[in-house]
Amino acid sequence: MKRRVRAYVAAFEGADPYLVGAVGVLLFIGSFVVWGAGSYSRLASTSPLGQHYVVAKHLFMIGVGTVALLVLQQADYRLLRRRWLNWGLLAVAYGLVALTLRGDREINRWITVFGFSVQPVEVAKLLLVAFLAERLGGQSGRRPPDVRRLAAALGLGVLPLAVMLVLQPNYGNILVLAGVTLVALFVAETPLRWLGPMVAVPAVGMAVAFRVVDKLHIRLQDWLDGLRHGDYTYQVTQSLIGLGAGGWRGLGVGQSHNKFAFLPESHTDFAFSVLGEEWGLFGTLPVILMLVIIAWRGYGIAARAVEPFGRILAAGVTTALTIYGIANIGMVTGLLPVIGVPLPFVSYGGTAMVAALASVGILLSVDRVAKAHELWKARWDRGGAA
Amino acid sequence: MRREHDVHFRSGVLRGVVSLLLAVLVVNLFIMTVARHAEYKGQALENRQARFHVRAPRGRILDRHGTPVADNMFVADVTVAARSLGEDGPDSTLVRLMTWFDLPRQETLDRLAQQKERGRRRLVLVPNASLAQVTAVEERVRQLPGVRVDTQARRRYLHGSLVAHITGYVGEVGRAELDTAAGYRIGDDIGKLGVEAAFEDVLRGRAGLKLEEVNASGRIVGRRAVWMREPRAGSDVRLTISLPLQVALRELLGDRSACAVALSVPGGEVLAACSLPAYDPNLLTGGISTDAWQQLANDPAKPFFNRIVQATYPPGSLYKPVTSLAALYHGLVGTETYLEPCTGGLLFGDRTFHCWRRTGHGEVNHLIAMAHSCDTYYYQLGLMLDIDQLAVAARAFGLGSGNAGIFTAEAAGNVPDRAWYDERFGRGRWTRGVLLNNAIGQGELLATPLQMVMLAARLAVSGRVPDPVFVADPAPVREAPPVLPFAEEHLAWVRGSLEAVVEWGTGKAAQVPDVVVAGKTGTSQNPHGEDHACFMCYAPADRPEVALAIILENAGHGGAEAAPLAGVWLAEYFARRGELGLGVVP
Repeated sequence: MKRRVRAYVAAFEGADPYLVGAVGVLLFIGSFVVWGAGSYSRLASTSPLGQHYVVAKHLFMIGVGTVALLVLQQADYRLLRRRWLNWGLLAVAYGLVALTLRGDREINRWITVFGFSVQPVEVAKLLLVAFLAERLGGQSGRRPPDVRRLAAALGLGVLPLAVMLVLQPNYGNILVLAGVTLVALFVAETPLRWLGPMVAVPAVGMAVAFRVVDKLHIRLQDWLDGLRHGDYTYQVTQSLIGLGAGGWRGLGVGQSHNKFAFLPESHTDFAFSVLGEEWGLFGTLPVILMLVIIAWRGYGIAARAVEPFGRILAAGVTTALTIYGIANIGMVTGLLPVIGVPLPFVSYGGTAMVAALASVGILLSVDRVAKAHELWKARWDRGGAA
Repeated sequence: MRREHDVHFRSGVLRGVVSLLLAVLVVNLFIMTVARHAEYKGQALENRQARFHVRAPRGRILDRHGTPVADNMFVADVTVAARSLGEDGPDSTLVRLMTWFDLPRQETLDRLAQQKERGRRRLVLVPNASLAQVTAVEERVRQLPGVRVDTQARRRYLHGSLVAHITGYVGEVGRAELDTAAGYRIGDDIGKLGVEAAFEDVLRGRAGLKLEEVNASGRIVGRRAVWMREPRAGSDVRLTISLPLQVALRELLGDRSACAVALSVPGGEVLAACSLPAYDPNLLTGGISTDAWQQLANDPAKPFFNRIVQATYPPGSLYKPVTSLAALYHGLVGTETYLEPCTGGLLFGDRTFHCWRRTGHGEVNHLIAMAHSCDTYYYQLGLMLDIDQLAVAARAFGLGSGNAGIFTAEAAGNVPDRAWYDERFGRGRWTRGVLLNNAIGQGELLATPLQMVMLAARLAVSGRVPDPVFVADPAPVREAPPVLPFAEEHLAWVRGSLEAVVEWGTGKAAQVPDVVVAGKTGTSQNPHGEDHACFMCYAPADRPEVALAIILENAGHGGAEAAPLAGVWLAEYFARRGELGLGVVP
């Protein structure tokens, strides 16, 4: 028992300290923000935990996510290369996403599992990355991916999810989906001349969607109005006021005024704004720096992966995280339209938090295998002595 | 190794793209927090602080002894923000509230619509909420967007309708008043009638202002105001009315349509004044429903009609002292002169003008004619007089012009003269016949009850009574009393004849034990119905200190109906004058 624990700890000791550290810093900062901003949420008013209810649930989800992270880090990600597992999990995940579409609300993203409200798309997104990795990088030796595999990746993987996300609707994840797909194709060493149409087709698709779907059109118009005339929507206006009023020094931890219902979703999608209001640049710059570190290390791990599958997997999940980060900060600061994505590791959010930590687990797993491989290769080069 | 290189190249591209995007965000953050900080800070302040108008407590209205007639009480209103009443779905805040409080649906909707029309941003949903209602709202305040309990001072008229026509009432400032009157905000109270309106500037005080920290729904979150300018309370206004005397007068009049005014002599301070029927001003302060308002406004008994200064009656025989003085002044008759005997009427042209006593008074001299109010004698005086001579005498007493000042719709009455008749009927198209009517206070002559009591008061002390006042404090500016043109001996004779009226004439019913009362009865003919019973008097006759006029609408003869009431009230007055500190001449 003791040995196993020691072995386990040893295995984790090899984990990328920059990546783990960056995630840790974000979790730390995020918990403070959620603690403050969540205290005024409607959930908090009816719970026995009172104003601490939201942060308690936040910490609990961090716990669940950390377990997922550790399990995935210890597991060999290459298990996902088995087609039955890979395809099977994706099929289940898509099924769950399809279930959300039954809802009759304006936005249908959640299903209830054992009393927990779950967003299946957060999981489906990771499994899609695995699927793309399997399709695009699964074949050994031959590259670039052949047309059949490419078609399967896009047709069976990307397209169904894209359709379901439009129906939900969930514009933030459509953006993530597009980004992840492009990056997967990019790191799968698809010839660069193919990438032109690959960028063009979704771009045209989105342009058409903006024209056709009213709601998208309105959001786009709101956004353009904001950028051009400073005429932002209420939520963005409040967010900007919070950030701007906080200044570079911030108002002080817990001093946010926006959290008193001035800024809707202040502990979830707009947590960054509250952070800026309370902590100033001392809060916001580290968050951006941590995102840079995560992207930097994530793509580094992808580059060092032992095979294309690991590389695409690592690059894909890194991309999902960074797109969330950039889109979130962009929307909170009025640079991007409001598409409702959380800030990874900072925003309150159940499934998104677990999925984000699971992504890190996958990255660490890819990294661990690569390091083991290098170690083994070094030994092999030295003559195979144990 | 080309492959390795390519992999690292592509990973580098991704790192670069991500870093570039994040760098854009950093630059933007610097711009927002450093370069535009001040601008956003201002907006944030605007966001979280709201200005609140703190109403000043309105000054009270007291009677002459300092007893409050109108004060303020704190009431709780359940109010709702106008903008949160947008949709009217079955689950809307409004419907839920109406169900809870069991509010009559149509009436509530009307009240809200009425307030919305006035431009209010907070609408009173439940005025004068009970403790149970307040608690119910406070408990569920988070589920009720825009709903709040507001406590505020509301005007309270402690004696209901007793002094209503003098105090007037306050109501919410209207749209038009907002444009013309400075410093009022939507929802403020403003004096609408009577003293409340005339002394608005005194009573109102100055509103305070406070800055409060608020949350997104406008609810105050700070424990105390960020900044506050204290309101300055309004000053009290002291009336000349004496509540005990007012109550006595009111009780005498019962449920008639009537008016009575009592005045101090020679001060000209109104001690008691009733106009009946009256309205309860308390009904009007918290916003009255349209229905209830219509009912009050359309009541045929006209409760809003302030008979004291707005109603004009022919003075009838109350006018006879004026006719006598005019005739004496011009030397047309003496105090002992006998004219043609009264046979119950006088033929003028082809028309007989009747005396009130159809059987006639027989031989009457001037004194008997006054004491028994013989119309035939006065018809003859009328024929001797010129219409302008009579009008000048009447105006000397203040008849024909409004003189109370504080009431907006004060009537002037009417004292017709040659010019008036020329204009009314055309030059040469009226006869001296009008003089017969004028001489007995009928025809086109009209006077308000206040003018009638002033006539009595000025007769009592040879005119040395300035225009009447209703308010003692703030001290009114008094103009010098008029100088009567009549000879003092003529005035003294008239006073003696008025004593005779009460001693052995038509006004015997007004006698008071131990006090000599002088008065004149009147029966004011009224084309619309039964005659009005009138009586005016002053007492004590030798050293007058109080004057009283009573008009009972459609009640018949003044001597029989009005004079007894005057006697009762005067008895009450003289019984309590010491205790009330009245009539003491320094």
